Formats: sequence, C-alpha cells, structure tokens
Amino acid sequence: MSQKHELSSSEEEYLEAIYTTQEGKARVATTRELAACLGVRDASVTEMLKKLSEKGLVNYTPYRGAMLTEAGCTIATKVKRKHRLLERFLVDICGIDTHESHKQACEIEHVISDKAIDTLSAQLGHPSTCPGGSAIPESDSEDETDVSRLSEVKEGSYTIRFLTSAEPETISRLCSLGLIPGLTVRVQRTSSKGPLVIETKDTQIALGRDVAESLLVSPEAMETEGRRRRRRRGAPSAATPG
Amino acid sequence: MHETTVTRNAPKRIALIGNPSAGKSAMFSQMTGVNVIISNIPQTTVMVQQGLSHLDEHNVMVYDLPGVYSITAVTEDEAASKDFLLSTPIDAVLDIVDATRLERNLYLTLQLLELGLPVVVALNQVDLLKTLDLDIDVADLERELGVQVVPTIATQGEGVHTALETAYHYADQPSKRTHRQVSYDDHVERALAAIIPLLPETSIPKRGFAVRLLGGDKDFESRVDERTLARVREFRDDVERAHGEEVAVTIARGQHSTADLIASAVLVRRVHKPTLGEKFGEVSTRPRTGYPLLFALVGGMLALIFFVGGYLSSHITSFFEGTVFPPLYGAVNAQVANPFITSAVHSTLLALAAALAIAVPYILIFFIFLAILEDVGYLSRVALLLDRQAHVIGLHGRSIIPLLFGYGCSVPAIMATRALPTRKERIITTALITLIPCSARTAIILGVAATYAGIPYALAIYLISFVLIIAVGRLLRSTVPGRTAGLVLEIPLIRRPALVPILKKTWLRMKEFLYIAVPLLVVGSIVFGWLELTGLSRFVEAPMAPITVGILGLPAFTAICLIYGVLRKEMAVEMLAIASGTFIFSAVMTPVQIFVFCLVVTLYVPCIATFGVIARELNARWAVGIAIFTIVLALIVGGIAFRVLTFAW
Repeated sequence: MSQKHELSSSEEEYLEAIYTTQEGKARVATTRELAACLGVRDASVTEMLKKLSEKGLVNYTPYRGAMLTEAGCTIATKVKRKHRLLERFLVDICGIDTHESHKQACEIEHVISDKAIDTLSAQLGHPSTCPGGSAIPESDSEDETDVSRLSEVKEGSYTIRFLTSAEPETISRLCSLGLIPGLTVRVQRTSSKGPLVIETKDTQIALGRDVAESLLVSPEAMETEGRRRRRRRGAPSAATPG
Repeated sequence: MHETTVTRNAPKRIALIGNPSAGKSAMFSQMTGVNVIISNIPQTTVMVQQGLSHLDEHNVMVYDLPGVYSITAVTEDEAASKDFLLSTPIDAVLDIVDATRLERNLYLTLQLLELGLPVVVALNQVDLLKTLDLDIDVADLERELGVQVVPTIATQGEGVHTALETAYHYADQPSKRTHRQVSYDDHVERALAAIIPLLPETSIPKRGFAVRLLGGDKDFESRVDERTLARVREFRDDVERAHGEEVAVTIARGQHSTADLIASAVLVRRVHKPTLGEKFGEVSTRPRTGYPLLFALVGGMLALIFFVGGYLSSHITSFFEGTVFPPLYGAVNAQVANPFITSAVHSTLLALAAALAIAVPYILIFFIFLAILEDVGYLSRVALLLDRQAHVIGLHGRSIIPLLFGYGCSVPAIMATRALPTRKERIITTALITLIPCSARTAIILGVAATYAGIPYALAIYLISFVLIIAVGRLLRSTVPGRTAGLVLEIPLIRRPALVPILKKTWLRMKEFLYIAVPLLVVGSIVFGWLELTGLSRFVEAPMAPITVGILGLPAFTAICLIYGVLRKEMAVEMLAIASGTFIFSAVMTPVQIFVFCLVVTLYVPCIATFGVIARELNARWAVGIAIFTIVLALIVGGIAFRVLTFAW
C-alpha cells in the first residue's frame, strides 16, 4: 500500500477501535461493539465504516460489521503502538493515573510523528507492554508496506504475521499444523486462481485461496530472529544439535 | 522381554493414534492381520476399529483411532478419536509418529503426554529417512520426550512386534520417567498456575487439564463448574489481551516451539537431492502436468472398470446361469414340491449371482484402484488439483475424495464424508454422492442402456448425471444452512504402495457392500419371487401407471422394477428381465424407453442401504428429504428426456 492515507483523528480512532475489538480474534468487529467501544450511536458507526471501506481500510459487511484490510491494519497497528507507548510514558515518567493517561494518549496519538514516537520508544527502553499489560506492536516502519496476503505473494519464503480467518475449523486446523503468526513458510506454488502449495516443518500443505487470503505475511527477514528456520533443501549447515 | 505379567482374562487394550498418513492403518493391518475379524466398536464410535492381536500367548485388543493432527477435534472422525482417548480406559497408547515429518507429529505427542496418557512412540517410516537424507537419534528422542521410542517400518512389518510388546509392557516399566513438558510463554504459564488450584481431582494431570481449559476446549469446559469456568475465562481474556491473538494460537505456539526444540535436537539433515517419489509428487501437483495425469488415471480407471468389469461381469453371470444353476435347479425341483420353497431357492441363487457379478468385477476393481491411489498418497493431490473446480458446486477439494468413492459404492463414500470439517459440506457431499452412478448403476448403464439402446445413450446418462451434480451442488450451496471451511490439507509424500494395507482398506469398504446390501438383495429377491408366484405383482402396475406410463412413457410392467430398484439398484434390471419375461430388452422396449428407464433408475431414490447410511450419518429427515428430492428430480428429468426424444424421433 504505497499511497499515504490522509486520515482524520476520528477515522484513526475508529481503525484503532476495530483493531482493539478484532485484535488477534480474527473476526468481524460488529457495529454494536464498535458503538459501545467508542461511545457513539450505531448509525454513526455504520456511516464511518462505509467511509473507511471506500478508502480501502476496512472490509465492511452491512449488518455484520467490519474487518481491517491490510492497509487498515497497518495504520491501526501504528496508532495502537503510539497509544500504548504514550500511556507508558504518561504513567511511568509523568506519573499520571491510568484513566487520565488513556484519555491524553487518545489525543496525542493522532498528532505525534513516527520519528518522535520511535525516539520515545527508545528513550523508554523499548517497552513490550503498556501499563495495562497489553503488548505494544513493534515498529516496522521500514517494512510496513511488505505485509500482504499469502494469496497475493510470489513463490518464496514468508513469515506469517496475522491470522484473520473467522472460521473456527480453519483456525483450529492451522493451529494444529503450526501455521500461526511467527512461523516461516515457503510458498512453492501459487497462481492467480486455485489453491497454493506451501511447505513448512518438512510438510507440503495445500491451502485454499480463501484460507491464504486470511493469512497476512511479510517476506522472511533473513537476519532478524535469532532462530532462523532451517530450510529443507538448503546448504549442508543447519541442524546439528546444540 | 521377560514374561512377568500375570495372564489375566481380559486382554490388554492398546490404542493406535497418529497423524493422518503417518502409517497408522498399515500398523493396524500388521498387528491384526487381514483375515482377523475386525469389527467396528458398537454404539456411537463406529469410526474406531478394533482388532484382536496376539503377543506370545496373550491376547491384545488393538484399537485403530481415526487420524488426528491434534487433540482439538474439527471433524467427526477426529472427535471420535478424542472421545475414545478421554473415555475409554486403555493400557497404552501407541503414538505413530511419521519420522519424515517429525516436528509436526511431535505436536500431537506432546499433547497426549500433557493429558497423562500412557504413551509409547512408534517412530514410523524410518526407512524413508535415508532417502530424504535425514537421521534421527532414537536414544536422544527417548531422552527428550521421556517415553519409549520404537523405530518401525509398518508397511514391511519391521519393528511392529517390538512396538506392540513395548506398549503391552508399558505398565511394567521399572520407574516412571518424567515426560517432556511443554513450556509456554509467561502469560500462559501464569494463567495455568492460577487455574491449577481451582481444578477438581481427575485422572487427567492438572496441568494438561488447565491447558485444555484455557484453550477453550468444550469437552473439558463441561467438566468443571460454572464458577471455575468464569475464572478461566478471565485468565483467557488476560492472555488474549497481552498477546493480541486467540489464546488457542498462543498455546499452539508453545507446543509447536517445544516440538521444534526436540526435533532440532534429534534430527540431523544432510544435503538432499529430490528422490524419484518427490519428483513424481512434484509432477503430480504442478497444474501443467498434474491435470493430464489426473485425467489419465481417472480415465484409465473408468476404462478398466468398463471393459474388464463388463467382461468379467458377463462371464460370471453366464457361468452361473449356464453351469451352476441348471443342475442346482434340477436338484431342488426334484427334491422339493412346495413351489414357494423352490421359488425362494431360485431367487436366492439369482440374487447371489447378481451380487457376485457386480461386487467382484466392478466394486472390487474400483476399490482396489482407489486404495492404491490412497496408499501411495495420490488422493490428497486430487483434492488439491480439483479444489478450484469444487468451489463451483459449493465444496472444497477434500470433498472430491468421497465423491470419487461414490463411483464405487455410495455406502463407504458417505462414511468417508466424516472427514469433512463442517456439516454443510457433509450434507452437500452426501446428497451429491446419491446422484453419482455407483457400480450397481454402472452395471445397469453398461448392461442395459449401452447394450440394448446404444453406447451414446449410456454416455448421455453419465453426462446428464454429471450436469445434475453440478446443478444440484450449486442449488444446495445456496440453500443448505451453515458454512464451509477453506482447504487446509497436508500433502503426504509419495510412497511405494504396500499390499497389506491396500487389501485391508479394500476389504473394509467391500464389507459395507457385502454385509449391508447383499442380505437385502437376497430378501428382496425372495419376496419378489413369491409376489410373482402368487400374481400379486400385477396389483402394483395399475396404481403406478400414471407415473410409469403417463410421465415417463415406460411400459406398465416397469413399475415393479422401479420399486425393487429401491432395494438394490441393479435389481431393477433383474426384475425387468423377470417382469418382461426376456433378457432381450430391445424386444419389449424402444431404445428411448430403455434409456429413460436407465436414467430414472440411475437418479431416483438412493438404494435402501444408502438410505440407512444417510439416516445414520446425517439424520432420518435428511435421508427422507434426499430420497424425495431424487425421486422428483428423476421424474422431471426422465419425463423431459422422454418427451424430447419422442418429439425428436
């Protein structure tokens, strides 16, 4: 998603709310939940969701609710990161109570720059959770554009980032085969239609396009994680124990 | 091994469990032999097979549980495995671990250990490790897991005896070792520590219990009171908030990481060049080569069944009618005066001959062929290749496998729908299976339509049924409530086929036909003989005439044939011969009538055995619904065909 979205703070606030409601649950955030979360009327939510849907930031289904698209997710993650880092700052450094810090963070998060928040994070020692115990999303400003659906990528190695499927059977099956965020998979065969063939844990797995669409991935970061996935037909190095 | 156990009356019970395609059925076949009587466990868990095995002079009852990837059940098959493990007292669980996919298989092993089950690991397919340039240190694996590990090659029977023996003596292990525990992340561990004191005393270790509860396992949630559950939900919310994902995913990550650690510690990899099997696997899934191969295989299979099956079928029939029956009839007629008894004997012989003429050439060949494809690991590739096409009829690739079975016999095909994840998929697949020409219907299409009306008519019936399957599939896709779940399918390695498991699988599927259908065929045949003898069958013709003559344009005597076709499809033809008084159908019916008759018989109401299976697998309402639907469909399609063809004549 190369084009930059100019968003109002209330739009950002909505994305954040959907993110919070949806977070990890891989499900649709209903209109009612969002209304409750933001303290507004159902009708306002519907109106805003339509607007965000037009901007390609959410997938909106009338009468059901919305899920973030990858572009929406990227923005929401960023806002959430700002929010939680600011809370950390307001509570730990300024000594403001959690309720008040939440309110203030809500205000500042829409205006503070990426650079400023990265500096703040560094100053705070890159905390991993907010005062409420929730995880602070990592900054991935350099590769935020790289998150895409598994169904859209070319052959190669990718790390699973998010699981957005809403089908319990699918989530359960993906879990039991180990296809969960953090895992690196190798896409062996993909086409514009029909299922994909991926390989992971020495196993070939066929994924329907609908399932592949629900997995958000980013290209495998070669040097980052200490534990690099050994590759099946790779160099002789790999896995001596120890 | 030393003989220390006191012989007891009850045989020890050993359950086999493992991932699908880990070689579990091969292991079961080796332990129980092909000719040992295997029975389904009564009551609800019909999917669990049991067989008696022998170890020295002891009897061992071996249970073959449907393959699972984890304790979290998605399909009914998997639910059966889980139910069995949680509710049946067993002496040992033999966990079949696919050595070639060690890390992924250890995930299940860790879950079994967590539930405190008496696990012995059979490290299977160790022969393939060499071809894949892998090596596993068995002693290290034993140490890492804290359980006994026996390397096996189930397809060749190697290590099977030792595995059985080790499992048999599980209880005699000198000192219980501590099993490998999964280490979860801090949030989960903290939640577990808080949940454990709340749990009641059960046979399941509290840590394992707590993990299942936290993960939201319904089967465990029902075992604790509401208050505990409310607390657990709070902890679950905490973890989910901290991780921003479902707690089940976080737990799965912990289990997979531990499996990964173990696998990395015991597995040695060397430079690997793809083997012949892998190259074939590659060819079979690449669209450019995969589709031609699939067409060649399916076409070859159908051709084999058409030509070889048709040839065998006609020879078996003529052998019975020419060589076996005349002396038997003569003997019976000479000995017995009562016409009801002679009629019953005649009918029984006819029915058995018909069953043989269908079962051996058509169903047997078909199921052997399918079992080979399944055993080498090809069937999942079919599911992969046809996933996109299956979407047209509202299904996913994995439904293709039961549909394929449907060309053999609907009964095992419908049983195979248990491996589908959602009820909607099961219903659609089951309904479509009843429209697929099974072996009995193939016998009709070949034996009657092709012979007496012409080959184009026979092909037209196949084409019409195929078009109807697509049309009905689309209709059901939008009308059956519920949803389907996307395709997530493991593709197994291509293996050399092994004789014993193939025979076993074929036998299990044949058994459904032999035990359910053949008795019905015999009884139906006897009753029909008596009706003929007493002249009662004429009474059916008049009330049925509006349908047979009016709608379908068939001779009135076909009424009784259609009714008997319900008992067994191919019986309609046999009855046609009896009711019309000749085997040369072209003498009494026009080609159009023969075509319409065969078309209707192919489509209308599933045979009684199929009906029974649908009622058992889905419910009686669906069975009745599908039956009515197919009757109406057959009448409409038959009526249209009759009118179009008569008009065009």
